Amino acid sequence: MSSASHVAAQKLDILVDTFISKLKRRQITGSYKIATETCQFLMRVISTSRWSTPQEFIQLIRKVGQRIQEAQPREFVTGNVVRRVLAIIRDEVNGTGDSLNNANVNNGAPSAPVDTSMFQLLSTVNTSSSTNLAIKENTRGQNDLRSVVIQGIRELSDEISSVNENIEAMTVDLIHENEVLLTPTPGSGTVLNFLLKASLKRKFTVLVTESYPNDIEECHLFAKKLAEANIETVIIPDSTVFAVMSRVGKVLIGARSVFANGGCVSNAGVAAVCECAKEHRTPVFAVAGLYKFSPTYPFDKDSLIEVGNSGKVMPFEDSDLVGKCEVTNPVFDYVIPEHIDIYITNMYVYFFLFINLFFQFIST
Amino acid sequence: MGNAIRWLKQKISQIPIEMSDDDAKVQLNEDIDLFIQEKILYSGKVITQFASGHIQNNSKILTYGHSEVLKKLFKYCAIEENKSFEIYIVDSKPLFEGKKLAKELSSVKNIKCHYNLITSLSSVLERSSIDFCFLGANSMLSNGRLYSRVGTALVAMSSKNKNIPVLVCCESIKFSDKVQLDSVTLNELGDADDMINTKPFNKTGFNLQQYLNKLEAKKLEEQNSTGGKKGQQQQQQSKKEKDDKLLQSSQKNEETLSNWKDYPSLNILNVLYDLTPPEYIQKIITEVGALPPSSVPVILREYKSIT
Repeated sequence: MSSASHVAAQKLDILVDTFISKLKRRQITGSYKIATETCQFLMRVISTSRWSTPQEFIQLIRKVGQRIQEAQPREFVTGNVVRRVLAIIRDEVNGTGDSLNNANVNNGAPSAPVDTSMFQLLSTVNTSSSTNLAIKENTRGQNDLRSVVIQGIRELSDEISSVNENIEAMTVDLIHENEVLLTPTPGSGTVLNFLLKASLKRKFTVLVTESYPNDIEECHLFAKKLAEANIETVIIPDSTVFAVMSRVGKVLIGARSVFANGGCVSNAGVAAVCECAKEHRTPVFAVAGLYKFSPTYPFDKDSLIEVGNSGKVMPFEDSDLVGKCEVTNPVFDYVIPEHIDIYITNMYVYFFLFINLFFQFIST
Repeated sequence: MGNAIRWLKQKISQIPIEMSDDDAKVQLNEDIDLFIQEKILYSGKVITQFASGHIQNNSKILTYGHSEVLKKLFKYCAIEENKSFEIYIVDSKPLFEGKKLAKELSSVKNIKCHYNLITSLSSVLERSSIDFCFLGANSMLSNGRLYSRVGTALVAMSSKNKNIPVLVCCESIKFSDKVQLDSVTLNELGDADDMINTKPFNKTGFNLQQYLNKLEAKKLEEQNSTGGKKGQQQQQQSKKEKDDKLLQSSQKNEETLSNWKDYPSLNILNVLYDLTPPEYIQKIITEVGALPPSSVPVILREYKSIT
């Protein structure tokens, strides 16, 4: 019995270590891919793991979650997915807590709700000295819990993949005829989808900033796709944003992660664009799937911003400058919550002052 | 430039009728030389004197693009006054004027240069505690707005919001009677094809591109017209594949939007100038003194009354 659990623990370790290496080596990049891969990974972890109480189960998943969050610390999506899975597990455990405790009733354990910690201290003492019957009941309970949780994760995975479809539904109400939109995040697939779907019902113009040097190829592909869909597209350099802002009706950005205070991390240059929009009283919409919302608070803004290849800012062709100047290339930008008017997600539409209500909903 | 031409016309009208053409020309030449000395070269020096008081040892300065006056100012402070300070140069596509400034200043001993693109502006302002923002001007309009390289307004706005004083160095010759309310009504367009490059300065000129296209067409024609033995054909085919692969690999570096003109809904906007509202500017430093942006019409009145 112990050797089987030993083998299972080894399998689990191998699984976790492979996934962490993938994350560390950046073999998986992009919030969407990471979210779906994390779901798959957690399903496998849950099928191979062994535990004796639901509390141990929750602790196990939490530890795994902490490890994978540390593998790519600026990608908050892994932590968010793990939190949603924990919420699913806690829901199940709370819902079926009574039936598990009834199984232990002949050991004299009190039938109290499972997550009250004082009672749990007493009941763990009892379950460690439980009989074979209790163990059998436990494993059956375990299997039930496992399959229910895996079902829950599958639903979560479906929700993540259908983010785009759900956001599309809100497009029509937000854009009116002959409007001019500005988008500084051409790398966002969600924004692209949003605009393509909106173009079926409304006619509008889109200004796309180049986001040189990091996203310029994405910008050109984005503009090409919009032009192929017969949407009037104008490519503007990043410096022209202030000049055209007086003619822009709405600014649409794609967020990479959203935090508990309502601030978000997006591509470089977006913070300046949102500031500019605020000065001109232009509304700013952020689109993000629900899996990008994180209950963490951005205490240290410097650690959020990843710095990329300086060679893109100053290529080695400028050899006389390369050694003499300090060059940095921040890839991300933090946008403060006051600059974003509304978050559009696949489930609800949020305003940053009310965002904490939403976090209460998903994390307990 | 309008001001200079107006001044010249005035000078011409002031020449007495009796003077011969040659004498008049000589006098005009002298006047023009004097004008250049006074209004352009000496102004630069006076502005430098006024503005150098702001730059102390170990100060951090932010600047955008390339301005002759500012370059003189920074060099003066570093070399003559022997102050050591840091400069954050912000630059943008497609002109990359900041690189010119960076090249000049990075070789000066007391100056530490930082070079960034305009997308990283808010990160730079967050991280480094910048003391002053110096901007150059193309012209100052009568309603206090600064007409300068596109992107200046963004830099001025971001600096103002972080409580960094924005100083504009501008010779009085650049003051204009014009009034303009926003950047879009009157502006200059740059070359749209400059925007297509994903890497700086990689564009092939129009003639070169046409020549390359002709070469390609010729090659295809030759390959189609040669009948020949099967072996030869096969050789040619494999050669053609190799050529195609080479072409493809060089075309990968070619841009996604190289045929942007084929898409009717796709446009490229490359304006050269923008307008900075007076709220963002703290002080304008000219050779006649330092003044707030609302005082521009006063200088114009003075300037008109002198000439």
